[in-house]
Amino acid sequence: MKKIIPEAIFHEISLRVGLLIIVAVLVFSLAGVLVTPWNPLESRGDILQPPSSNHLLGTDDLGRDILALLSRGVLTSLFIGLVAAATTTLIGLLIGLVAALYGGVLDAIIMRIVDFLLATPSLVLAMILVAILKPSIWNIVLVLAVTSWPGVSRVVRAHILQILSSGYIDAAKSLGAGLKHIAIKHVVPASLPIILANMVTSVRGAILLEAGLSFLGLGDPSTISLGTILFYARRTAALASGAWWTFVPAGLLITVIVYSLTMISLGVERLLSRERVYRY
Amino acid sequence: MRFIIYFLYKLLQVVIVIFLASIVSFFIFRLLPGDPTLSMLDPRLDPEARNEILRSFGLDKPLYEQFILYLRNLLRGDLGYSFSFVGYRVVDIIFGPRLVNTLILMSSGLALSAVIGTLMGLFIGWRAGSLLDRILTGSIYMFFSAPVFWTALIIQFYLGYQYKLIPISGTSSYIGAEVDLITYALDYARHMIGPLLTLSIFFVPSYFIYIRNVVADIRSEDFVSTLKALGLSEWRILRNHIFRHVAIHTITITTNQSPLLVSGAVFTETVFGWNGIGRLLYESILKTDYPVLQGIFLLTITVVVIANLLADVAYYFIDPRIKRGLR
Repeated sequence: MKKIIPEAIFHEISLRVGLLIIVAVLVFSLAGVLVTPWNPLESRGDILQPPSSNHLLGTDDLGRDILALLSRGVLTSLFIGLVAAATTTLIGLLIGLVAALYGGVLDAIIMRIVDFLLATPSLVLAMILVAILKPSIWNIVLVLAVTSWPGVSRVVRAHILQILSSGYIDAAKSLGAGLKHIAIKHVVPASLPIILANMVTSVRGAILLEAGLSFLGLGDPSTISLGTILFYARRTAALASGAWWTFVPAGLLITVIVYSLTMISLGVERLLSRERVYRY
Repeated sequence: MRFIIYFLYKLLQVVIVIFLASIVSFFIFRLLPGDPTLSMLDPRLDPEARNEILRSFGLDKPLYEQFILYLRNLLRGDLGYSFSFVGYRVVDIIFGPRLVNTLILMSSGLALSAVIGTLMGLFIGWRAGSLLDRILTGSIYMFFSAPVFWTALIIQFYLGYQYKLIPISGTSSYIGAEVDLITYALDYARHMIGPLLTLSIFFVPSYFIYIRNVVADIRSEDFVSTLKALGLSEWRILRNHIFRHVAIHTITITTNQSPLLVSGAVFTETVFGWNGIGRLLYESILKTDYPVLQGIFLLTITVVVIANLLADVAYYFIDPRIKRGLR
């Protein structure tokens, strides 16, 4: 698939915009924790209160302060996104590396599995896996990683094949370098930029998938993520009673986080595509 | 003849993937921890009676025998009986009104988005760099980033609950009632407004962004300058020359959307209570109805690979390069 790169308009401005937004969201969340230093799951009095000076973003149907929930939710969502993406990247990198370096039958088998998993809608697989396993944060991370490594593997493999065909690898080989040496000293360092660029996309995907699972009530019930807040709002009378503050800010935060990650990955891609001209 | 070989080659790949999927869908539900019978059977049930029920589902046999039985039944189009809809065959539950509802909703959503997104991308891409382009392309990424379930909630809340412009939930107001076809169709269409709007907001950005970039690239190519120099109007260049390039990309994007189609269906149908396969998937998860889940799993993979197959066939006819450069 051709990469979605808007030209001229964004350049690395998109990178800057993305980073700025993510910092702003973090500041909002940390300030939120400071303003609401109690257990966010505890009731703070009246239920379904609109935003006021008492409750800056109102309360939900159990009287919980929305700002308290949101500020923790942001941190949970970002944390799960980062950990899941790191795990995804690690699994994808290792499998892609093995496929590219060993080649032959092993490569063919791995790539058929990757094809198959890419044809499987990750949401369906994730929903089924989460339903079968116990819904905990770590199981969610596991499920996110299991359903999204194939994309990383495919990109990594293609990139490594490209590196392997370049002159300096031949030079290393002719000097008697082994497979392990080439992999660790040459291939992995050379593919780090593309791996990092891919990881941003993985974080984005993981945050969206986690939010979706939590929205359906399949997330970890003991932690608050942005998706869980939306799940509560939908399950209760919040919509019918006009309590927009229970679900508008939570969804907006997901959108803004995903938007900033999209901008960052666009910026990184742009940087890489420019740099590659000099590198190879 | 050439086409037949091409088609058979692609068909073989489809068969392999579907075969893999049937293997995976058998083992995934049996090897993972968790006892499916717990959800269906009362744990206090007398062990004798419990074993009797397990036997009636064939769950007492060794795994490999179950697998052979499963494959044989699958080839006959038999996916067994649902756990939660007691007495109903999985095939009858899936291939019924729910599938029709989902097909109507998703195909119209996708078609609408493809047309809107492609046309927007075509005209904005032609004017890449203009103020309108900056504003639209910058803001479309916001829509691109909004999770589909939130978009659905917002539309349901404002248009449904607050302004009462659309029905809040469901597929029809006349369930079980006798009405004439036109009244029914109009009511059905009214129920479709919210879900369709959600799906358009979900799908249009991908088409728009991609096509815009393609057109912005093509615009600076030599043949376009030549056509301009020949005195062709902008409209004719767009319609007769650029549109042909763009059509191929529209097909590519549509194929790439097929995994998104599933999440679109699950979330939109769940929020709007649309009686389709997406909502069935969600409900089957909640009820741990493994046979139905297995059926939906196989169905979605089959749909994805067949969509890919159709796209390959379409490429064959649209893109003359494929005919010449067959592998």
